[in-house]
Amino acid sequence: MPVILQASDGQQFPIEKNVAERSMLLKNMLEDVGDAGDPIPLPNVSGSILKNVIEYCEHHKDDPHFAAEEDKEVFESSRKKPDDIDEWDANFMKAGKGNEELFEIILAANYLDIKPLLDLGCKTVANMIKGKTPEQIREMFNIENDFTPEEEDQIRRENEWAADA
Amino acid sequence: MLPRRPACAASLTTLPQECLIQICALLPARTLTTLSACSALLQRASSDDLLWLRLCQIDYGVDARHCLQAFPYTTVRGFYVGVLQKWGWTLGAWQANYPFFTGQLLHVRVDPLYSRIVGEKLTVDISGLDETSAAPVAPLPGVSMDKLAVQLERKAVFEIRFEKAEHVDSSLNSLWSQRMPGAGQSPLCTRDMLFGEWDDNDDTDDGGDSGSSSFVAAAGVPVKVSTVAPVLTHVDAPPASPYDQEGVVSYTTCCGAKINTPTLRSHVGTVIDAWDSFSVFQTSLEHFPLFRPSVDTGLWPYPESSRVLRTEGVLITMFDSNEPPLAFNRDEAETLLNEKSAWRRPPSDSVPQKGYPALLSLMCRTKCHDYGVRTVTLRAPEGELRFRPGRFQTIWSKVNIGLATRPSPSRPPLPAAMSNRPMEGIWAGTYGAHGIEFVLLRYEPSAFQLTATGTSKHPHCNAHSMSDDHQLLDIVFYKITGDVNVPRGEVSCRAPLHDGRGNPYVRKPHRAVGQGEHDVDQDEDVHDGDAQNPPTHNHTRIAINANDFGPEFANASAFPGVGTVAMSGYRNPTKIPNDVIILSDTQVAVYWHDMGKISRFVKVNL
Repeated sequence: MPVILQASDGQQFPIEKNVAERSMLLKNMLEDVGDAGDPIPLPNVSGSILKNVIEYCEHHKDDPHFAAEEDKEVFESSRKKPDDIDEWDANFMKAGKGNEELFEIILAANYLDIKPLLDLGCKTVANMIKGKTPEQIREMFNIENDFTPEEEDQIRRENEWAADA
Repeated sequence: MLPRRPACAASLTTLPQECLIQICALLPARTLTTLSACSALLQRASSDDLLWLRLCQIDYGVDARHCLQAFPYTTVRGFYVGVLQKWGWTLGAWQANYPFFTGQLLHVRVDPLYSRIVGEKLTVDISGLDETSAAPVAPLPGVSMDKLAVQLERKAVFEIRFEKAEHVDSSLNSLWSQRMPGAGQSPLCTRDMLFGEWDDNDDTDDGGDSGSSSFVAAAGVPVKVSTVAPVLTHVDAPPASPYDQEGVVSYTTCCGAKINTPTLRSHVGTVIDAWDSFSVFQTSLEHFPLFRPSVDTGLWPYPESSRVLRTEGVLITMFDSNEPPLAFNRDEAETLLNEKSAWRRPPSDSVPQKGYPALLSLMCRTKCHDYGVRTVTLRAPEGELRFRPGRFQTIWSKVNIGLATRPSPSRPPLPAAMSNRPMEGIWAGTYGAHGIEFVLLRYEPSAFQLTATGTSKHPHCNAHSMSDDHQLLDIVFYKITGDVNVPRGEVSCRAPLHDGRGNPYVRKPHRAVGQGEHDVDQDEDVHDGDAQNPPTHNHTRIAINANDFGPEFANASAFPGVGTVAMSGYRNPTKIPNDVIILSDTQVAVYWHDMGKISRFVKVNL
């Protein structure tokens, strides 16, 4: 029996239960309240983003679930390098997605508690940040420079050690 | 002012804090620093102490959680930038290139207690060992097994101190007079008195005036800490290094080279990346044109390869400590000479590149780490004996610990069936009259060939060409300390692991060959043509059991291998069969068949 997800804009997506269970939020919800067959409203996720998220979950529906200990401190779980992204995932993140979609996918993954997708989104952003100057990063991610010139000067001096990278 | 693009929602800064932190956790230190310069929010996110704790761990293997209590930094990031980014490359195990046949082991670590990075010479106290330390083994008549009691002693060679700038600048002299216990004494004062928290109630007592204390380290090796307090014989104003972002200066104190003598010289020096002095010393000392550490192990070689045959005569370099052998290999010297041009400084100025051993050198005004050498030229053109004095700078080369810290994709995993897996790293082992020496345990692609019958055969070619999918490993002990029989840098012992199961028995030769002149030692030259195959027919199998061998042998498995013995000066090195008996992850025994000895090895917990 399919699970129906309803996006913030009202679009409905009937999906298989094991696809829905990639999301720990939905998995716990289905376990707690049982499967009543009613659409599950997801007010934080738009239809277009939910479509992407479901595409990801479909492809990864047979992956082993993350072990619970994976959830430990930032420290332990993030030893992995940001560049070990598998090919399908890399294409998935690339395919016509702008920064806006990227951030919304991260937000949705965070909200739905889909750890591998959250990791993937964060890795993608991390890779975009690497090798850029502060100006390029501001430009790319639309970040306002809110430092005073004095602060900026001080930061430049503090960061001198990393400047030649 | 140009109009900004409309502030759409797609800004990194709209992500919740936990997502930002997760992204930051994927970034290396330099990128994180760049990110902090973008905006105030990102600066806060990228300065999170957890992030930098993680970087301390990943980049330098330093658990910085307790460092802020002693080091004068307010953030972990400050500690990372001020201490680790500058000096982290010095952390680890180093081997000195002096005194030539033997190597000295130097351990550099962060010492949170005294807010310093300290380099300590490690030695093993052998006062408790004598002939009675070896016990007979019942099923092996005439064989004795060494007892292993490794007591590590640490003696400071140098330390790098970190102080708030004002302490050093203004209050050195007042601290001096105030903190002096027993006011009338001549200027004898420890750095701790000058700069540290002088706490008489400090239970840990790892320095100060008492000199030594003991504790038992985790792996069960009793470690005796004997930090002889550096004594100032004259006060140098520590050179004011540029203040870093938190107003901290660092300075290096050399504790003197001859730290065994009661008179300590302690003074300000500098720790430098020794590639500079290395090249200087390579070009200035003609008698060491080929002297360089191994790219694989980082260990300094036996000095024979550093001598060359001159066109008209023989150049022999004699050392103050012990005399190298007269024989040497001309072909090898020429080969090495040709390679010399390929051996140059790694491209980066600051961080030693992968593949090149890092080098460390300690410079101080009184040249503590500078030694005299004499070069003797025999059969010179004029037919006379000529002596030439020279200077020799001590250079430490970083020991490549291997797997433990740097998993290598090129190296296959240990056999799955191997139950006990001795850890790669620094070990201590018994070497007969030479006492206890430090060795380096590594796993390497097998230098043995597997014959059809499953017995190992000594190789003339590398084994991995025969089976790519099933690459075999050897367990290898390299000498760090070394001795005049088998010197530092040479392989002490090598045994193929095969499927990792090993034998439940040791092999007992029917005819023991007395080799009284030889000492228990090994060599690495498995490629040598005259290497002997371990005999497979004339031995009996003696089961290893805890009753006869001792409780540590309960889960032991033996791996037939070879080691080498040599006469003094590494002359006439000979390979002899042995059994490497793996007892646990931290204990190994080696049964030297022809020596009638079982020596013991234990992992050293640095």
